[in-house]
Amino acid sequence: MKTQLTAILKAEFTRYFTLPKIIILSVVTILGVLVAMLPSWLGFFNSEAAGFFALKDVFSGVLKFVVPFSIFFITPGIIANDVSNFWFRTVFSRPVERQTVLASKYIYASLLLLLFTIAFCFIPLVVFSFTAKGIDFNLFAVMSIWFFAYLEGILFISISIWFSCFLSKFFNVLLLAIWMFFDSAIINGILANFLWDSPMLGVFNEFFFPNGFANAASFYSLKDSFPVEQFFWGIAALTFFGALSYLHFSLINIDRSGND
Amino acid sequence: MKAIEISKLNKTFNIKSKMPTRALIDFDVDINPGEVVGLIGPNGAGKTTLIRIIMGFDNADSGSVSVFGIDNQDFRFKQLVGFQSDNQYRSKTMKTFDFLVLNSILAGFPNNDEQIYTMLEYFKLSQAEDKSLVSLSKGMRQKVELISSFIGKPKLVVLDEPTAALDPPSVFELRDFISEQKKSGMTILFSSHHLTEVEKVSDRILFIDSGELKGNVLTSEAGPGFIEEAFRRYESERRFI
Repeated sequence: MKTQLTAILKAEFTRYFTLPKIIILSVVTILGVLVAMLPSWLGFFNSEAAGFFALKDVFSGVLKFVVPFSIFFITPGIIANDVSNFWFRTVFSRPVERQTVLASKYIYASLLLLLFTIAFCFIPLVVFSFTAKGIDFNLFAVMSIWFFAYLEGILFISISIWFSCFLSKFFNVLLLAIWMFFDSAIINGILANFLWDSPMLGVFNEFFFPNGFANAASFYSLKDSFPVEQFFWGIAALTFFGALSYLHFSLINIDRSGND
Repeated sequence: MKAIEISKLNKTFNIKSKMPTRALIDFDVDINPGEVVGLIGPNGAGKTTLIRIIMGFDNADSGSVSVFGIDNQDFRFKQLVGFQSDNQYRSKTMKTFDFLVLNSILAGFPNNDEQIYTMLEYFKLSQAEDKSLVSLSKGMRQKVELISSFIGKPKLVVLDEPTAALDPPSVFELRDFISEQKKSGMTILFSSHHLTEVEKVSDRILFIDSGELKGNVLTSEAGPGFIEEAFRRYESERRFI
């Protein structure tokens, strides 16, 4: 199983990295670095407006944008495309278990997300921290926020894999966008207020529009202490959507070609 | 032990619609080890559905399939089986050789480069080993699928329309290759519309129409040109034999 998993993972990366994607990834990384250097070039740190600020807050803000963006770049059609382009038929005509393929999807998407957050977030911010003045570069705090944001990304990977078991790429993107909208802090807060007198609907809201890890990142950014409650809400949601994706992936029809 | 044992297989598509399509009806057939069996029938007869169900890609509504005694719901039966599909996976970034190595690893043969090179040479694809799958012609891509189905010396090979995109020399190569594999005791089940090839290669011919087995004929007991004659008779009298 380990050899099969490694081989499938290698194939996933080979299939993903087409030339246009490599170019886009490189261009966005360079743009990110240039934007990070912009305040220094414009002389912002020499002005009176410049104060003392923590890099973890900047990092938290950037990750809120980069993680969803990366998910939209990585996961739509992650299952549906492989059914329609006959990749699954190639793989499953061999003695390969479905959980091996599902595990490869999770690992591949998670590693890509890691790469994207390094390229679009970490590298520009390291450049920023070297060019900026008066910043608090607390590596542990930065890593902790990265960890929570990364877990939030893995949660969205599991939701997207689940959607992709029964939706085409287009509807996968659409529903994921709607889901993320409802999952955003503002809408989720409105929803939570609306459902405050119903514990059952409140729990339903926490599960179906989970933002435990996002809350954990915000909580940590503000209070510098481990967000136990938010973290476990995130873990519960990840387990729930992981189980849903496993269930639906084990049921999908991997060959939808016509009858002859 | 039979190579393939199919018992009372039923499959209906669009079951909730007003016009459900019965793709397989109480389909029963056994295939012996070492046999080369040709599956023929008109378009929409149920050949591909039967192959998909044998390979476990689709579930039957009722009935059972076992391969060398292993139920086809148990994925381990695929350790004994090679499969060539009529629909081909294409990739801009995956090369022919890498695709075959991947297939070999998944089949349980991680260090099998020698067999891959030998087969690429046999099917005259050596010059395509470094080309991406998407850059190959349909016929070349079909040959790659054929090679992947024979990788690792499986006990049973299932081929869905293996000659559909091949030029005549490639069809001859495939015919010779199947004859060679037959000598080593391999069981082969293949569907085709090329009646001459089916007749030349097969030990037995299964004729299927409207999801039912209409004919099960040993080629040794039939004369040359038998299939075409039987096919024509079926068109007019709805009787294969």
